[in-house]
Amino acid sequence: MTSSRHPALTATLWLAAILMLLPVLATFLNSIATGWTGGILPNGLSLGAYQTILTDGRFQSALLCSIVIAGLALSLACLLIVPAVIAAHLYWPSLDTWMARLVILPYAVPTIILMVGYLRVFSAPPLQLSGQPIVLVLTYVPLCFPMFYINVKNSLQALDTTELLEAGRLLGISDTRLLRRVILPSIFPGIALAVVLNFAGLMSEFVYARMLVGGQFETLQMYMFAQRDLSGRLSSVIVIVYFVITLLITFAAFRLVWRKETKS
Amino acid sequence: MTHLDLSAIGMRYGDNVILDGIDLSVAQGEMHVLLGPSGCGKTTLLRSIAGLVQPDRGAIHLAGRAIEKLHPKDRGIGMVFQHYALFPNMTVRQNLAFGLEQRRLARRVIDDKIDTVLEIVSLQDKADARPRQLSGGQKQRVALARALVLEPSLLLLDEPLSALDAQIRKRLRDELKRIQRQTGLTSILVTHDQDEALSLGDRISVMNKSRIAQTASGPEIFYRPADLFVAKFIGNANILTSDEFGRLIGREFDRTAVIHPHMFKIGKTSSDNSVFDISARVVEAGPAGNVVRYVMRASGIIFNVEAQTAMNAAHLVAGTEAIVTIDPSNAHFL
Repeated sequence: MTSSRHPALTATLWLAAILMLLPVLATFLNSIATGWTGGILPNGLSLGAYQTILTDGRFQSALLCSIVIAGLALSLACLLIVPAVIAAHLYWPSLDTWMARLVILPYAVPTIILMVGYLRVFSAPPLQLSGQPIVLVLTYVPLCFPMFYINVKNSLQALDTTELLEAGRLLGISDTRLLRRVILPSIFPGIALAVVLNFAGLMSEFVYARMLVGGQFETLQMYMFAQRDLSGRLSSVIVIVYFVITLLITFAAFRLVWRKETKS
Repeated sequence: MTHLDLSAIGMRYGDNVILDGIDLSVAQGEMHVLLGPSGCGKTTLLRSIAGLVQPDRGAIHLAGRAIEKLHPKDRGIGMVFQHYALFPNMTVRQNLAFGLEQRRLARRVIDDKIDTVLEIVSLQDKADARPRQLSGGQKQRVALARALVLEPSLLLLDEPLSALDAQIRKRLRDELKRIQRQTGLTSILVTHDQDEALSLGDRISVMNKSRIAQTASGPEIFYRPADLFVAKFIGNANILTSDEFGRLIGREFDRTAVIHPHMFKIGKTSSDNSVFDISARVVEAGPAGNVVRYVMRASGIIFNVEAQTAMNAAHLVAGTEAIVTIDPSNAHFL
């Protein structure tokens, strides 16, 4: 199908792309502006705001905190959720229908109720961890569940795992070995996608961080929140930095997937 | 010589009987086809032999060895699945090597075996391709090669051609036959396609409702079906009740007649006493390549007749009267 045959469709695609890029472009422009009043374009350009933010020790530690928290939560999610979804898909299909229902839970329960629940759980033994960063890691894991479930499940469904396992059994390949050598590598792109999407989500998470560890610990979003009165320029810089990091991680993930696909 | 012997294989699932006392012997080097409508138990029987499902009772002997309690990998059986079941992240060579690697063979031995098998299925140039780069027919040949490379003592094929389109199916069918002859491997093929069964099977078992209705050679199944089910399932024979056939030939008759459309001859043949003349009217005429298919009516009975065509010979048109003859020795009676 050539684009010339469907000019209307092509136009729609461009329009959608521009619509999605516009906020990013505007934010970027604002982050490098010296001032932006009375015109459609900024008065002048400068990287001053970047220098202010990037050399700020508080920003650096907030960024590091966010990355470490998100990284830990995602590692834990990979270790817990991925095996659970695979096991349910392969061996306990009845359990799987329950997982499909649980998927919407993190979205269906109002955040404030979740927060109150979490605060109570983590303020009494045996999990008296209130205010500690580990609480944030633990509560982020269920938040990742839907994205992991959907991506892993879709990848598995595209595979016809039952036939693959049976073929393996006849060839003398154990289920474990087949999982490691065939099924996991085949669903790897799905897992990578879940990691990237969740990473972006966790980096911009604010409510959990504020409510659960607000006092002791500053994540990127909380730092941004603290800067809200200073200047919109600084906020723009933070958003762009956060956006670039997410982009880099996305590229890294896709590179990894691509390398795996073409390897040997 | 019997290579595979099944005796009294039975299996039920709740109240449903899936396999109802199946007895079957397959000779060394034979290509045996399990043919039947969906839900007749043919796939379950195949999977029981492979060890992918466990029948409730019965014994399976392969090359004189009882295998019904063995793990699938220890049965010496190779299997080709309907949807290929190739490992998508591996190349053709890796797909073939994966099973061999479990046997701790030397790398060179593995490579030699793979090269040999790839030559048999004519895929030497695709050794480094991945499954998604192959066509359906090529994928199925890789699946076949993967089963062959372990040198099994029995090959099971679960509807191996049903996911392919007609042209490729025909080609691969011939190739399958060639490979089976070349390797001399005892094989069991499951299909619901009677053409496939008749052209591939040395012998065919027609299955119906969890039992084997008839086991025989292709021509025997075709011309001498054991019961009404087999008669209806194979070919498109005219099945006339005793009363209908009696009216057609103008005599008392007491058995059901199974008459293939091409057994009726158009035009008076001779004054042979054993041949009956029937004056019929052509209701429909449908020329289809080398044959023309007629629907005719005589004494209120509708039946199908098939005749050969030729370039310059006109066929009968609908509405004309015709004499057709039937030699009862060409028909089959139940």
